[in-house]
Amino acid sequence: MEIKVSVIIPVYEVEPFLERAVDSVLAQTLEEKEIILVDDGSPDGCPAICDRYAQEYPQTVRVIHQENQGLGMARNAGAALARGEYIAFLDSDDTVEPEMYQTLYEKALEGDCDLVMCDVRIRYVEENREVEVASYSREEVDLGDYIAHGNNITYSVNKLFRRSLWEGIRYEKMLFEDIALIPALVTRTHKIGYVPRAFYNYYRRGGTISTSQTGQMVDIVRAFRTFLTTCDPLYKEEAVYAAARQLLWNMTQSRTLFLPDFIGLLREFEADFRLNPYLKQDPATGKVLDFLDRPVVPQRFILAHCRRPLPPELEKALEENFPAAQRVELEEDLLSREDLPENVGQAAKLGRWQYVEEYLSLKELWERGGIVLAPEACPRLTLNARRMEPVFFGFENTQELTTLCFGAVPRHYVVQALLQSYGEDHIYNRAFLPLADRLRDFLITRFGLNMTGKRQVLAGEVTVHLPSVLAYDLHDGDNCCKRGDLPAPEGFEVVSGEVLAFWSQRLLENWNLYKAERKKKAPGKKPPAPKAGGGTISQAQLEEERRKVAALYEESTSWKVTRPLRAIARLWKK
Amino acid sequence: MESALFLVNSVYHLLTAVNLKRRLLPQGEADLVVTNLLPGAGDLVSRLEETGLFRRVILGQSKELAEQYPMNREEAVSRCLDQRETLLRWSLGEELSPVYDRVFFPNFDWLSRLLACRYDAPEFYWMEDGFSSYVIDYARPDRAAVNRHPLGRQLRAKTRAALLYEPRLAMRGDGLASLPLPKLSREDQGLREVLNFVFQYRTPRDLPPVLFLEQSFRAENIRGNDLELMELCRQAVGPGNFGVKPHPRNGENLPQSLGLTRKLDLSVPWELFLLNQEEHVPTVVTVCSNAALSGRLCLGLDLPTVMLYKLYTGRVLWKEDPVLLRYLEAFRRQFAGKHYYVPQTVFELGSVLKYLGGQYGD
Repeated sequence: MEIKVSVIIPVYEVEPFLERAVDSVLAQTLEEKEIILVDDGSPDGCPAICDRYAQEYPQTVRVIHQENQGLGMARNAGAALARGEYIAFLDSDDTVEPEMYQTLYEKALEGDCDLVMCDVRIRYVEENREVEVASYSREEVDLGDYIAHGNNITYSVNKLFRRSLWEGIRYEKMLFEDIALIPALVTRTHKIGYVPRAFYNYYRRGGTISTSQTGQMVDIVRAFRTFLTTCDPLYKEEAVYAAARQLLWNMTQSRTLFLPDFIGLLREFEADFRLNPYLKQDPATGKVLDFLDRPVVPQRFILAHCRRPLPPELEKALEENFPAAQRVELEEDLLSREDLPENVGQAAKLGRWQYVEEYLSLKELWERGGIVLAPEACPRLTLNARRMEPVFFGFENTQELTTLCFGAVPRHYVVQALLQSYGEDHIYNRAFLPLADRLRDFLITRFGLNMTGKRQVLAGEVTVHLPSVLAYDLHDGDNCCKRGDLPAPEGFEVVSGEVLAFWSQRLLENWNLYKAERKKKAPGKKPPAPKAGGGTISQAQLEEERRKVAALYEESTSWKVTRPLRAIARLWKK
Repeated sequence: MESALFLVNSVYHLLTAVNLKRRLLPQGEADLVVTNLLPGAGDLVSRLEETGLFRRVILGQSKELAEQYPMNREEAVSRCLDQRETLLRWSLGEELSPVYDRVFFPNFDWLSRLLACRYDAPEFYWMEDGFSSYVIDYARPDRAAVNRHPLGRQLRAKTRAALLYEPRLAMRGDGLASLPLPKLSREDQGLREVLNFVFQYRTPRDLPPVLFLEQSFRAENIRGNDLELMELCRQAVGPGNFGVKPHPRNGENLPQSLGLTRKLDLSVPWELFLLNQEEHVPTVVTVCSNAALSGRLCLGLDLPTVMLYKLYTGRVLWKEDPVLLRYLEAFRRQFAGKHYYVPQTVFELGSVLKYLGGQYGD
């Protein structure tokens, strides 16, 4: 049998969905097809399911087992094995409508197309709703117009590719491999067919690559870079415009955490974006150009560690959350620099290494910008958001600032001023005081920082964050960096007593504010009176109410936050 | 033989006058008027007479003049100047010499102005009164009605120069020359003996390492955070290491009542203490007391001093007068020495005190 379409299904940790996907291909009206299941080292029951299908459908289903290499590599492995005239990709947690491949194949034959596409039905699983996204506005595809204005251009899965098109082309080993490959491939495909029907069912669930955020996702920037550098130059303007649309969405809606990285990409292709004729005619998408003027802290981590190694926990956190970041390690050998203030040399002689480390960090921060991390720091991916602040610091508590983590754009005057103060005859240098003291007094005297522990933006660009952002994790989702050298049991967080008191007070203030606002909105309205229950309350009702109150407490943030203290108090009692 | 007249209203003036007489007019005849603005002036007068340093020592009634004839009210000014000779006789109780070659006065007060009306010939010299002498033009016409009265202006017209311990810091802008005063010297044994006798000096015992010099804010009804600052200092250095020297004009020793300090055995003038005490001088903390500067100004000593004027919240002159603030800054930058600190935040204050207290380990 001559195989018309090879359907490649990469398989990894999709046990609950795999059979649904494979069955939807088996149910295709197109008979001359093959299914290639690429088990990408899935640790669950998927490999066995694959083998079972291969056994049951030996004429149709083939299986490859390989070590886990990622989605793109799995697709490459399947493509290399494919025998069909056309190939298609299906994600193993999605499904296809029964007529999809036959219809797309016939369309391909009819127009002698290298590529045929259809629409996509997005099924939001948790929300129990679905949306059909049309790939293009007309059935006949004008390639330039499609690249510029079409939808679903980056998807691999709603398309049928002539296998010969695939020769010499492979996915890269990365996340967002679709974006890196498919749109550029489209620009190099001269004849594209389109069937305006939503044949492909894309199931959107929480916890998938589409909906979660990890450090590796910075690959999305690399993917767009690859797209823009490998697209057909004849369609560069359309490609840039298409990228602009997608970038704007990602920057403002979908992946805002990577905004600074996207801005970096925009700057790499600044001429292409600024001079793009489509962007000039489309003010809405043209807003992407505004980002070019925003200052961005470079993704460079400045790690000063004199006479002490970097803790492995910090190295791991950086590896996981910021795989693409540059790391600058500053050590004792830098003390030979000629421009070193006398105080710093003196501090080194006296073994005041924290003082030395902080000076070296500031020096590097001034010269090239970035984020300074103390060796005790445990940075999180959310730290990326801070990179949009030209200079940022954080409170340790209501009396002190933290220097666990802070950052700035290159050559910022605040950092310059701090750096210059190391050359002055001042108490900070005489006593080799920590940078946190110098910084606090500097911000108070020069910018009027209020030592309230609350977030403040000084002079429009110096941000000082709550203790929950750059010092402690208060479980409010704000934390970007916390102490990594104070281990706590699973489910617990380390927090100083002072910050705990401050935080409780803050919650109370917010609650009172909420109550006051509510009262303002409905002044005469009293809280509903308890329902009369015949004058008596049963024991069961009472118990139920008690359970509700206890549950409410257990779920409340302040209760969770104080859990370690309560545990300690219990120990003391014993 | 050259003759001179000295007027003094405070301990600071008296120290300056005694030193000036010894250094400038060792053989000359000099009379001294100690006014009743100086607490305990009566006792001082008799002991000053005993020293034989001055030909005559007279107790002057200056306080009443100031109270009865406000200098900023034209009618009162006219009345005072109309009966100038009577008031002068009443204030001094006895006749002065008919002629003096030089008159040294510390303030542009009534007594000095009335003397300027009486004596045509002598040169008048304005002696330093602390840092206000560096920054305030007391004779400016718009400052008080007395400066617009022809007789009231006599003093300024006859004043040849201001005598300052650090003339280069002067920034009054009044066109008056500033000449250097000889500094008090610890090496001058004679000076020390005279002053110790006059003030019945005895060495204070058990002074704390950190001493807060209180100012007369409460007496002047100025509300501020000086008590809070004392508490901050006390916490930073530890209660056993801290004490407050109360200001005599404040009446009740509030810092002691509030438990901020124990009672200190320090009734002698601060400058005299510095003149005598060569070791174990406490670190001085003050909002902006002249006494804290005088160690540097009149003795030339570089002592650990912490000035809190940037942290004080009350409405005081140096906050509203840019010249005064400029003076304080100039003092800090050009003259204060290595051990003079002006913390800009309460946190910095804590760091400075810990550093001075050796709590940072070196």
